[in-house]
Amino acid sequence: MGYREPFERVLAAALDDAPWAYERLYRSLSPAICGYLRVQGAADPEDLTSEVFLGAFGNLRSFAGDEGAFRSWVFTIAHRRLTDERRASGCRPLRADAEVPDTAGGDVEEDALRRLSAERVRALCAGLAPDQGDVLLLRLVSGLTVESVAGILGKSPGAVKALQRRGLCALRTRLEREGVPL
Amino acid sequence: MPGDLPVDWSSPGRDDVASVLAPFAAEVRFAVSGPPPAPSPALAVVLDAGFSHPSEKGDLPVTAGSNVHGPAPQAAGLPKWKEERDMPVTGVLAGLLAKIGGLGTAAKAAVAGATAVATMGLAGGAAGILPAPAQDVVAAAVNATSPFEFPDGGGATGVVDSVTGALPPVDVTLPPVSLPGQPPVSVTAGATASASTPGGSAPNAAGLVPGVPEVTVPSLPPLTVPPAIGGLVKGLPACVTNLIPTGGGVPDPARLATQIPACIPQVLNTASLPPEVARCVSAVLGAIGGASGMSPGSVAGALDVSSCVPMDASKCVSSMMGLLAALPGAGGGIPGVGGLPGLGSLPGLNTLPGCAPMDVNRCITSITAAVSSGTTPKLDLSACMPTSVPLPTGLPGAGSLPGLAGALSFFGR
Repeated sequence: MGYREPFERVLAAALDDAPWAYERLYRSLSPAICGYLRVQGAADPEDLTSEVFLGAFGNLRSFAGDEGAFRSWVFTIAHRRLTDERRASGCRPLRADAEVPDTAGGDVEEDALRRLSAERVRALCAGLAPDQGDVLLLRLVSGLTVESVAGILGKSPGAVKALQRRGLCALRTRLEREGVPL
Repeated sequence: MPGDLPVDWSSPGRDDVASVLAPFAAEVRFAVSGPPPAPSPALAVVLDAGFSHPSEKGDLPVTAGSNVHGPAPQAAGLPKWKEERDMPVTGVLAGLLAKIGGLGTAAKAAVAGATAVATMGLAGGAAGILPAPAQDVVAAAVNATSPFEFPDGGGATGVVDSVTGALPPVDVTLPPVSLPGQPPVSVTAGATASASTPGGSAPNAAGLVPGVPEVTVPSLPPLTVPPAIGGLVKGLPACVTNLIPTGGGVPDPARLATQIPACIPQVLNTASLPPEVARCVSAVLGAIGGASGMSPGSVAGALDVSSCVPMDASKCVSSMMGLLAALPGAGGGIPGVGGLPGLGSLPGLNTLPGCAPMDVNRCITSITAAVSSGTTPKLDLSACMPTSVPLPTGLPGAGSLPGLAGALSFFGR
């Protein structure tokens, strides 16, 4: 995950309330978390990302595990925040904020292209069942195993594999039939 | 097949699948790439200074405002099973407070104003000089959790007035101001700088926010604290006066949203409230500010009033463990106790030694009804507090035990 130091040392420092450790954890994982929330249509993915990490850092003492488990844990928090937001809005997916996000040190053009990509991904996933889209995007974005994704979504690994398979087939059918450009 | 994709291409002819879906995967990867997003103000404070240490810049830390619910496990002296299986209570409030940073400017200013009043209102509230809606918030919160009685917004100044003498009415409501490029916002702040420094003058009108018209904050008469309560209210900490911009003017709502959560516990500590009461009030005030826009159902799930009802944890926990061990299939060392639903309805729970029942539903309803009103809430914690009970001694301050809301002991007022 690119911590420059062993993850265990970073985690131990964060448990000691070391700001540099929080910064390291945030910089390592926030792009993926924010990206996941963006392609899932969160209204304000940047702000929601901050909420995710505040929740994670505030509950760090309840976490135990290695780097992979930490990644899975943070994505779990992110997915649950996203679910809460969806329930609050009463619809899914949510429209992204039209404003250009305040990305620290970002390139405006790159950001714009990234947002367009996110919109295309959302448009493609809109034709899938919600659970299928969640499985595909979680696996592609987080890089986690089927078992980890199953834990995030509260499903069995077998169910996740089935959703993944059906999601991929549906996606392939749409891409082939409609010739959706990517 | 794209070998780096964590996807099992299990369909027949997967090379064809891969050729079709690989561009999709690449699109996803690109969409989620990029630098870390700019953190919210609340998160920025944590990244800069952690949760419990002041930053090098001297900014207020995000402290117990987001972590008031429970002590560190070692401080509580809780059984080891609790330390190992601690539920994420503190993070919930941290997340709630972070919502302040996520609100739109108008909503953020309104929340900042309400919590600014709540923070600065311990002195202003005592004097009964806050705007009525704000006075109700502070009075209800303090009255419900402390021996002090603050006057509500609609009535006379009550106990404090009778002690300090009648204070002239002072309108401290600032006019709506327009920030450049933003919708009009209204910031209501109690100008208690002079209350904390008797004899001090009100800040001069000098806007800090570009484009904001100058406003004159009316000066307050010095608040005379009688000896009877002088030892209890020792003066407000610097974080209160720091909420008022140097030279006066309109506080920056964005800055208030960061400072207030950290200032609340400092103010409460100055008021010498019992620690459990301070945690309770701070937790609820923080939840009020963070609950804006949340549905009542979400608030009920997120708000934890366990810190409002301290208990003799060791005795209650041992009783609880005995009961849970007797449950079918429960065994010993129950993990995730907080996740057990309907804990308050377990038979025999109400009679556990060391624990005492509380009408949790009524308590939660009274709070969620307040925050779901859509306007400045009138918080009444009386439904969460019992009638007078002898204060237990040696409280380990374990107000954060999850799921035990239905089996908590409490202290008397």
